[in-house]
Amino acid sequence: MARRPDEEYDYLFKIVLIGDSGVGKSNLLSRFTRNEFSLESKSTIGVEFATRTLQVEGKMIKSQMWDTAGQERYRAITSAYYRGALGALLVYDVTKPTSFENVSRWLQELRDHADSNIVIMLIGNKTDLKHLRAVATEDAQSYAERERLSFVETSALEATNVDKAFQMNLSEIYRRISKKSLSSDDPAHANIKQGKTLVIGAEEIHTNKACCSAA
Amino acid sequence: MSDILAVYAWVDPATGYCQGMSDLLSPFVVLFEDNADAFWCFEMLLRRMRENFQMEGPTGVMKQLQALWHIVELTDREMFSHLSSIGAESLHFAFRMLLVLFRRELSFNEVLCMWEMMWAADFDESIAFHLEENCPEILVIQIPKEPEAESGEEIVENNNSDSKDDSPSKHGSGERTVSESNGMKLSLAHPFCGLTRNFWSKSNGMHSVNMVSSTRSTVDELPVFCVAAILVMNHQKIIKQTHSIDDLIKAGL
Repeated sequence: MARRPDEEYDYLFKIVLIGDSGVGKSNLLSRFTRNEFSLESKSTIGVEFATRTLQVEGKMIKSQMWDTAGQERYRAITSAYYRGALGALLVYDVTKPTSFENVSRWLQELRDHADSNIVIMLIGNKTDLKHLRAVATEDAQSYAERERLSFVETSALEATNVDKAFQMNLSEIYRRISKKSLSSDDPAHANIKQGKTLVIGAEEIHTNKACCSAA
Repeated sequence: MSDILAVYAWVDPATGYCQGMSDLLSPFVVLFEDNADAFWCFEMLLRRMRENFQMEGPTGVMKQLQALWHIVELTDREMFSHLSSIGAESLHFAFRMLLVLFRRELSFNEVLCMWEMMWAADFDESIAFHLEENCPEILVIQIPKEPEAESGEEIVENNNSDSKDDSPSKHGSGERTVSESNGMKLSLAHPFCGLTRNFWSKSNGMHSVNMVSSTRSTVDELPVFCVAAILVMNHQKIIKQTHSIDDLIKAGL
């Protein structure tokens, strides 16, 4: 079976999208993967997936994005989604202060359930609603610095900074992985060239030749 | 539709509003002109599925997914090993099918047929009685009793009003498909609630409920078998075309 171009990749990175319900996680994802936006999108049930393959520092990276339901009571199961995730996009709504206040709770979720090396990016979405803004950029920026998160403000509706946000996260993951594998003399480094599954800590990164390894 | 959901959250505050409820409600709103009819159908459906929407998380669906995984293990070893190898053993892709009963996978008309087929195939008189008995207390209307009522019936009802604290012993094993927090308000009058039939067949109903409680598991089984059938029918497609968990969505199951 011939592979479609988007199936050719060097690495597969699992990314989770988290944040309160209604902040725009699903629309950020549809903007990034399909360049689509819907004003009447339905709430996410459980978890939905989308992928996009793009080039990061000369390597084809397939990002497998797990879009999760934001409602509080779904958290009992969302924690299971964090397993094996290399990156997390923590989204809040710049017009809803509570969604920003809850960022610390989501961070705690990640610290409790995700790998400690997970690359977290804070995203303030809906910047197009300028007249309704209720969370200042500076506040979020300083919060992100304190918590050592990268930060960007986006508008899924206007397609502002959406690609940039995902790309920054993927690049950062790639940098961490290549730094880690180059700095160690264990067989993991050799595996990159051989196209085998590369194990970083508790996580596994798939290369396209090892398509069926367990996550 | 938001009015109906708001009323539901008001009568069942222990459950409140949960994402996904609107998917289950909207067909009733379209089918019935009267919002009250839509409400009662939705309320009856949730008696079956309340465990999926409770505050503690969708534990009903999680049990169903475990059952589904077990079915796959027993019936299709090749699929079982394939899904394990691509890391899909948690069956996340089936979560939505079970939570909103294929509402997002099928078209509106297809879903009406699917639901009708499922509920017709799944009809079990004792289950029906069980669901009828589990009316949220706030929705029960007391209707004065007919003078010719049987004396045995009164005893049953008196016992129930004594144990109004919803102790599990009321229903034997305490295994019930619906949350324990929704008790029945019973007195010497007939309780009447929404679509319930127990207004005219009360005593038979109580008898059946005890049997249901002790014999049925808490997993709503038919939707699980529907998903299992979908997997079996798509066996070749799944084995050949899915290389990672996201492919299962793309495969158009």
